[in-house]
Amino acid sequence: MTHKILVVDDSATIRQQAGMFLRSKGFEVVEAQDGQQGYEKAQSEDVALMLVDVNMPVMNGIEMIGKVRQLDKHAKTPIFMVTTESSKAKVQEGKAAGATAWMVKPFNPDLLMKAITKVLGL
Amino acid sequence: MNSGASVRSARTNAAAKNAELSGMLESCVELTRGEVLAAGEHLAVILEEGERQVAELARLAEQFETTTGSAPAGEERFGDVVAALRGALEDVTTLVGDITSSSVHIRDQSDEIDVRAQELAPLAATMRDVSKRARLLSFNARVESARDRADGETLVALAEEMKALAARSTESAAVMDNLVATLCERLPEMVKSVRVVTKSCSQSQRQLRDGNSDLERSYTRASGAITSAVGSAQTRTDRVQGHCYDVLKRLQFQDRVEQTLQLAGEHVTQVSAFVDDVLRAVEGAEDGPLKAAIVEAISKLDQTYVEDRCEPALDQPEAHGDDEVAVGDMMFL
Repeated sequence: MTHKILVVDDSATIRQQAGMFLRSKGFEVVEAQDGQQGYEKAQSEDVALMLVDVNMPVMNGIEMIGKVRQLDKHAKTPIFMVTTESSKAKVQEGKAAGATAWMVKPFNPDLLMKAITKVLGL
Repeated sequence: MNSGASVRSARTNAAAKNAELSGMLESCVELTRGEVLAAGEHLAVILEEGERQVAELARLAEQFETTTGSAPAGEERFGDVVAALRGALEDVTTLVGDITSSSVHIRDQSDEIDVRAQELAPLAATMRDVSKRARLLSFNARVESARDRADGETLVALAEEMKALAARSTESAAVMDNLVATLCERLPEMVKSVRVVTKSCSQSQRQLRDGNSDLERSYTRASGAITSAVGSAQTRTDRVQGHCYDVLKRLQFQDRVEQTLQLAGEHVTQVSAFVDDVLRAVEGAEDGPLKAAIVEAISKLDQTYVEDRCEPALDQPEAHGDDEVAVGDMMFL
C-alpha cells in the first residue's frame, strides 16, 4: 500500500524538493501552500503523515495542526514541523498544538526518511 | 573669619563641587555612549559576516547555474552520448536497408529458377514419350523380323518411322542442351548472389549485435551522467538553500541589532537630557547629602539602563545553546 504524505510549505522550492525526495522513496505526495489549504487537504485526502512549515501566509503551521488535531481521523496522524524556527519556545508551542516531531530546515533527507519509517512502522 | 570671607569660601567650595558633579555626570554619559559604541562595533562585525555570506551565496548560485542551469553546459556534457546513440541508430537503419535489398535480389533469382523449371517440365514429358515409342517400335521390329524375314516392305516402313523418331529425339535433345547450358551459365551467378547475400546477412547480424552493445553502453553512460548531474544539482541546491537560510537569519538579526541601537540612542538622548536637567538643578547648590543622593541616583539609573536594555538585546540568536534545535536535527516531541 502506498502511503500518502501531505507537504505544507509556502516555498514552492521546498515543496518541490520534499515532493521529489518522497516520491523517489515510493510515497504519494499531496502539496499545500499555506495552513488553510493544508487543513482542507487534510480533511479531503487520506494522508498518513504531514510535513508542515511554521511561518506561512493565511494560516501558520502551528494554527493549522491545532485545527487538524481536532479532526477525528487525524487525532493520531504523525505531523512533522519542518521549519527554520529553532527556538525551544517555538518547539514547545508546536508540541502543545500537537506536533509529533520538529525538524529545522534545511532538512536532512536521510534523517527525515528514518523518522518517517519509524512513525509509519515501515 | 569675617562674613565676606566666609561667603567667598562657600562659593569657591560650591563651584568646586559643581565641577566635580559635572565630571561624574559626564562620566555616566560617556559610559552609556561607550556601550553603544561597543554594540556598534559588534554590529559591524556581524554585517561583515553577512556580506561574506552573501558573497558565498552568489558564488554558489553562479556555480549552480553553470553546473545544471544552462543548456550549453548540458549539451556539452551529453553531446557525445547523444551523438553515439544517433550514430548507432543510423547504422542499424543502413543495415536494415541492405538486408531488404538482398532479400529482393534473392527473390528475383528464385523466380527465374521457377520459370526455367516450368519450361523443362513439358520437354521431359516429350522425351519420355519418345523413348517409350522407340522402345515399342524396336520391340515390334524384332518380332516382325523374326516372323517375316523376307518381307522387305515392313522393314522399310519401320526404318522410316525410326528415322522420324530419331529426328524428333535429336530436336528435343538440342532444346534440352540449350536449357541446360543456360542454367549452367546462370548457376555460378546465382551461387555467387546467394553467397553475397549470406555474407551480408552475417555481417548485418554482427553489426546489429555491435550496435545493440553500443546502444546499451551509451544508455548506461547517459544514465550515469544524468544521475550524477541530478545528484550534484541536489547537493548544490541543498547548500544554496542552507546559505539562504543562514543569510536570512543574519539579516533578521541585523534588524534586531538596528532596532536595539535605535532604542539605545533614544535612551541615551533621554538620559543626557535628564542629566542636563539635574545639572542645571544642582548648579550652584551647596555640597551636602542631597546632592550626593542625586549623583548616586543618576549613576544607578545609568547602570540600570545599560544592564536591562542594551546587553540582553545584543545576545546573538545564532549561538545554538541549550534553548535551540540545531539545523537539520530532528526532535521528537
